[in-house]
Amino acid sequence: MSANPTHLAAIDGDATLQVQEDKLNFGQNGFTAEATSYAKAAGGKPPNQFNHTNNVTFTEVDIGADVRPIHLKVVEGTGAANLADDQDEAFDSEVYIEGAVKRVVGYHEK
Amino acid sequence: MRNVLLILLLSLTACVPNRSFRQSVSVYPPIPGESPYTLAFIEFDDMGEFWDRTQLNRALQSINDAKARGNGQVIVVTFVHGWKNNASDDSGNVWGFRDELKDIAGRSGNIPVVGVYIGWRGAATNVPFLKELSFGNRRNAAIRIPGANITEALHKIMRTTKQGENDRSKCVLIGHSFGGMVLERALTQSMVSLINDEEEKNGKTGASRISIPSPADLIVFVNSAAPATEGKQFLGMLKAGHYYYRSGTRDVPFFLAITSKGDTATEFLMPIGHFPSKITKAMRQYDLCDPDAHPEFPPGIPNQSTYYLHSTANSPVLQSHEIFVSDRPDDDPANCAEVHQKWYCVRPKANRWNDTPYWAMRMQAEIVPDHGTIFRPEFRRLLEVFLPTRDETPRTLERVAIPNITSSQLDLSSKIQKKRSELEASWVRHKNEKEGQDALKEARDILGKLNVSGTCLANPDNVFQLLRNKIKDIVSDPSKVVQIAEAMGIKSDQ
Repeated sequence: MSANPTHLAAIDGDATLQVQEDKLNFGQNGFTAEATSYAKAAGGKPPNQFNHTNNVTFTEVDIGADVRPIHLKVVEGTGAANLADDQDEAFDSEVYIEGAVKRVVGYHEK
Repeated sequence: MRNVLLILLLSLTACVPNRSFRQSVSVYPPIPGESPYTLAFIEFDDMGEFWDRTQLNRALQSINDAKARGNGQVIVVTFVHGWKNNASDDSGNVWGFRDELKDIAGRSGNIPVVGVYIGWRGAATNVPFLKELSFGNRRNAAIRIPGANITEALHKIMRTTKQGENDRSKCVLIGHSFGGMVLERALTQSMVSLINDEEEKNGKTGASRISIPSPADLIVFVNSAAPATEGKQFLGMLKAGHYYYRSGTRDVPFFLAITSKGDTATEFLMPIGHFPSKITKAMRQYDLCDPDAHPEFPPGIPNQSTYYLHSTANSPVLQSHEIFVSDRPDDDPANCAEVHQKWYCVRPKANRWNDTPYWAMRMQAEIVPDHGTIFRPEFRRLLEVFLPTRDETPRTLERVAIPNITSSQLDLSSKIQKKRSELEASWVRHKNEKEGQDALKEARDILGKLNVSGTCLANPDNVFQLLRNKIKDIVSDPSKVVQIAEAMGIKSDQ
């Protein structure tokens, strides 16, 4: 998977968790890829973009493979994310949700 | 026979010496009241090697010294000359550059000005007629010399001038005529590497901006004699990668190719000069059955030789901007230069293909009248339009944002993906069976409905890649899900 082409994109960090999840899924479907990293933007407001920006990396799936939907989950604290056995962690990072920094875990269903 | 010998003898005796012209002294410090700037020379031989590496060290030291005098600020202008010039005092470009620096220093306040003159063997002979015949020979030199040494020098100049994002120093690089080709060839590959590194870093850290570490404020190829084949690859990369390049909220050029409408040399003579060498090269025909799948190729150009015979700025299909003349400034005066009570304003060209940070355009002859007369206040004023201003934040490269979507578009995109994976899986698992062949045929039919046809559908692997490329269009335009879904036989619920 890691040798497959990647695509970078930005998502509005002022949006709700659900809207961001939808956009990530739309990006996955568009790029025939799965989100493999998602994190809040470093630094201040990027010019001509959003007040709060999250950056995503999509990695294309192998030929014939499904694009698995991505799910987002806000996790409190610094402990383990406690994903279920059939949940495959894609990222665990600080992300802007409605403009506030949250710890968000993204996972695909296995 | 005697005449031939005479010409040969003349040409030998009139050869411009193959040597460094600034061996003992290569840096000329400011002389108050006379030349209020520092001028440094760095020379390269006909193979592209430093004549003397200490010239680079001295130039960098002079930049550091000037920064110390200017409380950390300096203006550095680097100039790469073209054909029929070199680093000697006999070269008109040396004196033109001095005048340029004098003018800049006169308007820079307390900020010291350093000029770096990049010298190479642009003149091989002084014999008037033979000089004109040296076009091919000196063009080959301009192709040959941009190697490790000149790239190292240019990057060290940029790095020494601008140390970090908050450095208010200004760094401008200008290449003229064949010097434009030298500058472009010397920088393009290293800039690609720089962008790739930043992109990689950005993807790993999730940083919001793909920020170029301030290589320069402006890199200009003026009246460049480089064929557009030089710039097209980088332009294509920027186009395919959807890169933007901004200073604050303003788009600014990463590279600027600008040519005078009065420059008959690059408009008419360059195609003639390049034609003989074109014959010895294999130029391809662009057979793009799906132009949408190849964003790096401008539409309507069937043959590579079109690019080889014209410069980037003289190629209408590659032009990104135009300059219009007005009696008053545009809505945004920052895009305009006042020259002789008229305003020359820069705006994006209508229906342009080139919307990349590699800007290409032509300028009025009132700014630069011909090929050679570039050291003019009118041109200086125009170049200031392209410079970031003090209030603007450091430049950045950005990626496109995922647009807002409706639930219906999301739903359709998921169905499109499901169909795509079914077809690919059937093909991968059953290539030699009816199921695989049926999947291949269906994929071809879908592409046909999306106006993709021709020889590129012959290779089955291409077919499925093209299908992915078509689906990718929805990222920039979510409304396309309907068209793609229909082509795939997917019905919308709405």
